[in-house]
Amino acid sequence: MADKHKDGDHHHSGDHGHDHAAAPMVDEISDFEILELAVRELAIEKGLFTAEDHRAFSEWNDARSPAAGSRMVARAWTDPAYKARVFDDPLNASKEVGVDWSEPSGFGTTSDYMHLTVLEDTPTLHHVIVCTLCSCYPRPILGHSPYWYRAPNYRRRIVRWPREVLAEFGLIVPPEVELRVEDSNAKSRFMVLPVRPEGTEGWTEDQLAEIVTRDTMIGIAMPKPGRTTDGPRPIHRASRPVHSGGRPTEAPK
Amino acid sequence: MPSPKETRRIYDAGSHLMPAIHQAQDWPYEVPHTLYEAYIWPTHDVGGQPYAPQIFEEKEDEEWENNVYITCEVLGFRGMWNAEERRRRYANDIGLTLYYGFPYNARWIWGAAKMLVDKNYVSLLELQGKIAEIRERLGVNSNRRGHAPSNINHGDTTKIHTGTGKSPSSPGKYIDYGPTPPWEPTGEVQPARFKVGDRVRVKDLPAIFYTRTQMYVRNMTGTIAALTYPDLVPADEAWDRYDAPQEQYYIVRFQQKDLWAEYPFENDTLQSEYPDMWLEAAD
Repeated sequence: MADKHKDGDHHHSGDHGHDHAAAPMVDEISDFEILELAVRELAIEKGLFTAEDHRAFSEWNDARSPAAGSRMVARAWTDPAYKARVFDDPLNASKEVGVDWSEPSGFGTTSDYMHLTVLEDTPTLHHVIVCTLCSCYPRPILGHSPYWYRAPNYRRRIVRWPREVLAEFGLIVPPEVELRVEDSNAKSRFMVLPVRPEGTEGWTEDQLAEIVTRDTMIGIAMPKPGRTTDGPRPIHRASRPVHSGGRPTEAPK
Repeated sequence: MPSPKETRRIYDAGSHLMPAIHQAQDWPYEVPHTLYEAYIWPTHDVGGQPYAPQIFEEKEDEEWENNVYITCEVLGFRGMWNAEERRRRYANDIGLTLYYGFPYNARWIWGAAKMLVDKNYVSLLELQGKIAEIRERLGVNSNRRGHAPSNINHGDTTKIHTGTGKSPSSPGKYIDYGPTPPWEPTGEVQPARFKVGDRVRVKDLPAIFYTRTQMYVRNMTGTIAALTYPDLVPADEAWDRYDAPQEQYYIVRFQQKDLWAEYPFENDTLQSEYPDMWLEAAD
């Protein structure tokens, strides 16, 4: 049996439209792909939504990434007035880094709502986020959640054995530090504002944003000079990855 | 001589073997209460369940998974369903077998199809016919490359930049869905009964059909850490009862050692969010 997920079978990055010759052959179209087409085509035929609705939301979706969150953290580290706004008025603080939570509908998205809370780490308090009931995550400002965040294993264990799970990610939280798990079970969405690490004195906002990776805003890693990517972590490549525009195709930085 | 990768694959397969004793569960005459509670425990409420460590992977989205997400969100913009219905009733309340047997986004599209039929937007025959038509069109089981062709005309596309952390938002470039979301509550806002610092206990109401109050916090006592917003309670929103009363939501902080008797670190905490009705004053 062909192993269609073998590492290195193919590589893809950026815009190459439908020219995807290096992709592995797919024996069979996924039943779920067929079901999605069936639902979408029926919905459009019945006038429940339009192809334009789908296209427009796809564009919004393509533009999501953790970059805005990184920017928010870096600015909060350098600008005390902005930092105060991050806690007092997080939706407007989001706008200042380019994210309007009311997009793309005027009232936000179906799943994300408009209630952001930013959790401030201190030298004696560390936060980590989870959604034990499903996969709630601040998509507008951090992009899509990593798959492990949505998967049952992390959701089962992080609320009860948080220090063990964090250690599996390579983060040892000292016993004297209070570890606080935020279980995102309702309409509030959370991201972590980590502690600015030593060795970054005098850095610019751009330099600082580089070390604020996705994982540091989930709370499973700490930023530090030189650490500009998450992981290393195994990558499970898609058989037929997303082709539309700017979604990250590699593990996010 | 097997490759290192093949050896690893065999190791992984072997390391996942577990013994099981099968006992048929065909309509027992009686079900003890504890077992009843275990059966109705909402499938998706997994917090605190013991499990062995697993490798945390970065999984790339398949194209179909991305399309599922978009289709399900857009169904919300047009008022076909709200996320509360989708998350719990349609994508999660599907029994253990499908909940664990399907991929993440498969449950979403399964739920969307079920919703369209449940609400009489399409008949089951229409859905079956459409699935058959698409299978025929795509030539399922034949060798094929690239994408599934579709008869949907997407039209021209343009790029927008809102998630780079530098670009301004671009209001006016989006579709007008009206001034309020389809899931906007209309019921009266009830006054908040609690304030920051109050000690509260989470009620243990029957978990029948649906809940967003995790099993692991039930009957546990914590402290109000913040007042968040007034909104419908989940049980009303999940059944489109938009005119039901709106209640204050609170972030409640628990001591981990109160939640888990064996928890070894004195100062660690956990926070989660509940509407007024799920809380009662603790002595």
